[in-house]
Amino acid sequence: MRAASGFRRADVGLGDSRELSRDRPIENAPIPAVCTVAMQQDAGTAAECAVEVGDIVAEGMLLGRATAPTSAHVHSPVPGRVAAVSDIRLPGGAWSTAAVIELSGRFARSGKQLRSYDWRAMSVEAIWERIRKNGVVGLAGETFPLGGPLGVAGGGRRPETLVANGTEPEPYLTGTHRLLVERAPAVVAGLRIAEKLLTPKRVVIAVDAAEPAARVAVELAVKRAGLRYEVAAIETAFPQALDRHVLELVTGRELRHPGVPEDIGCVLAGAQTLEALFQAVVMDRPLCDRIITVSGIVRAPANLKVRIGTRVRELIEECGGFTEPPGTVVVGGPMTGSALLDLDVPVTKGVTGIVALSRRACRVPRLTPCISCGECMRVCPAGLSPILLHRLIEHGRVAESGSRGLEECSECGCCAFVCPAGIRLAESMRRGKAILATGKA
Amino acid sequence: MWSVTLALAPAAAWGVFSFGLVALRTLGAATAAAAATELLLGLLLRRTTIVDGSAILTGLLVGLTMPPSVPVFVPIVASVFAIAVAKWAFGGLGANWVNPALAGHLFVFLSWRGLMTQWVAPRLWGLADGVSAATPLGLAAAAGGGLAALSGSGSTVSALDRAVSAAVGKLLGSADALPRGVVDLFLGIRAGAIGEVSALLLLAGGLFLMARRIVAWQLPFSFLSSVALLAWTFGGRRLGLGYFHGSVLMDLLGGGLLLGAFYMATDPVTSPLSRAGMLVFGLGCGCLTYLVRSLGVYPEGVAFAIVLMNMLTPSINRIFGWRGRTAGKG
Repeated sequence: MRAASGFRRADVGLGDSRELSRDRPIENAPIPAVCTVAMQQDAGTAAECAVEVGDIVAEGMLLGRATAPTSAHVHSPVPGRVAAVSDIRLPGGAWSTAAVIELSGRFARSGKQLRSYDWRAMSVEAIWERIRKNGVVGLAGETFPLGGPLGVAGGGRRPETLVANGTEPEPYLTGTHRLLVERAPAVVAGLRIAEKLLTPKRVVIAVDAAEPAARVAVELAVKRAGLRYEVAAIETAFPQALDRHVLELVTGRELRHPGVPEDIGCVLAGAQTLEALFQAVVMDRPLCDRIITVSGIVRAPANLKVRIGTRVRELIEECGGFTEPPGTVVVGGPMTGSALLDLDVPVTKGVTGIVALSRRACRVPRLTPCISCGECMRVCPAGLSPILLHRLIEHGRVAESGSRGLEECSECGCCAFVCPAGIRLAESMRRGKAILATGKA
Repeated sequence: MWSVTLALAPAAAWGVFSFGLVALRTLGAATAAAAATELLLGLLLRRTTIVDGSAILTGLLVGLTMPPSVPVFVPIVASVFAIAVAKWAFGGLGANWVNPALAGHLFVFLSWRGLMTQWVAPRLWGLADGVSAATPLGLAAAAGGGLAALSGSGSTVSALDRAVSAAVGKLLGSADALPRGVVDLFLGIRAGAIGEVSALLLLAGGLFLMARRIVAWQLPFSFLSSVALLAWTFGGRRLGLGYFHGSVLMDLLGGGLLLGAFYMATDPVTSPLSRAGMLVFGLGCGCLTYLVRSLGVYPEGVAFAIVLMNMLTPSINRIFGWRGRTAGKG
């Protein structure tokens, strides 16, 4: 058991928003009459649609075929008929081809006793094959296909440390917490499979120091399985539970741009990802649903097991609707998530939460001149000087801002959150990074 | 801005109690002139900036640096200069390189030196009887420095000071356990600019600002401690006492140091961004203050010191504004 380690830099003081849904058990969301399944489910390459209008599909049948190693298969969350194949908008705002499935027929898998496979008896190649076949992607943060080069595969090198992230990256989200409390053995089983694949020297499970229930559940599951995994309790004041900072805390090494976890000998997998891995390998279940926290100003905040392709509006209605007119509805967490333009977008494998924020919570101070208070510098978890970077970017000296560490910015949004002058610092950082990445303004 | 104004209010009130309604007139003229200039320029340039409170604060600070009975046009000129030239001409709030209040103060100080050094004795309903109309630093400069200047020639300390000093002396069995004049300096029973006299209330306001996290402790700390260290090291030399015999309290409490260190040097716009930069800035302010006081022609050097360091703020930010691993690059 590792002692709670503190965060080097400040917390923006968001209060305890997790209280809303922390104690709500994971429930199944209603099965939608229409599922809109996007071919672009993750941060990788989009899948290629494998069905045509009029096709009858069974539950768990392949809808989209992976086109590259950085791409994952997409399966049908419901049985039914392909009513349309069209371009739709994703929660993040991008466009994607999607198969629209109208529910009909019988469920072949849900509610049935399924055969389980013994992963110990499977070869490493067979396990990888099953992960790819079932379209498993990372379910927190960057949702890369697990079978691909950016996923758990880790480029074939043997990592020093395998880190299971059992913390919540952002305020309001409680899906991972509930999963640990209710299904820690499945997560640990997923971790054992990942360990077999990667053969790391050390396995660490990071849990939230403020959530003893989850920690106890994890420790118990580890003990029952007769394992010697470390459980590291870390403080999760935002933004330190963002993947990169969790790794830094667990390993004590700093991850620098453009570093990937492998650079410091790590592979990181979220608890939900590990559970999906377990389901895919042991139950041979394709990834068709995920846990989504619906919280904020909804009547009954909840942690829902949602079929991919369900519309955001249906989930909000399931939670009793809004308690007041919302200022914005965000997919992901309130800090790094994206505000929805339209509530009728379908959820994808990458949606960790849906948070409705009141008008008051969304209010940004009227833009006033910077008085150089330096607050943004004191909260920046990457140790940058956002205001000075902002000035460089504003003056077109983006290259210079690059040499001052702009690319270390993880876009956590703390700087903009604390700015008393209402300066959109995070937007500015994002713009500067985009210019650095593309080489043009 | 409003918190700073609030923190200054007790010290300002003490100035008015101490010097009478004439001090209120001076403060009012300075504040009104600053607000009017801000409003007028705001109207001309179509910006409503009066609500940010910075102009009112600047006006109040200008007033607080004035001798109580200065002719009314002096604070007005100072405030107009502060707002129009020091602030707006450089682009308004956030873009000015110099503390506007200090710029206004120095502008009139250098223009009407005689008017700006005509002090009045504090009244305080008889409590301050016998206290000189010269400022402690002025007396010290004339006498060659030190607290001794206050009690050196006859009785220039108040009855309260004498009573407390005597009582403390008796209690501790040593006549000079509490040097004469310290109580006066601390409570503000002395001549001086309206806002600088009450060390007690300035300190209380400063602590309030630090508790509210509006002011970071680094800047006042390095400012005050560098003055104190220099005063202790060199202050005794002119009195023939040699090194390390200076009277620290005279330098800390006798002039406008507390007003400058807590309320002027800490102006975020014109001071460095990082805590490390603030330490350097405060150190520079402290050294320059002591240099002007001990070697310059003026008895007081706080305003000059801060303005000079304001000029160095961009350079300090270049070095100390980039933190950690981004510091060495670029």
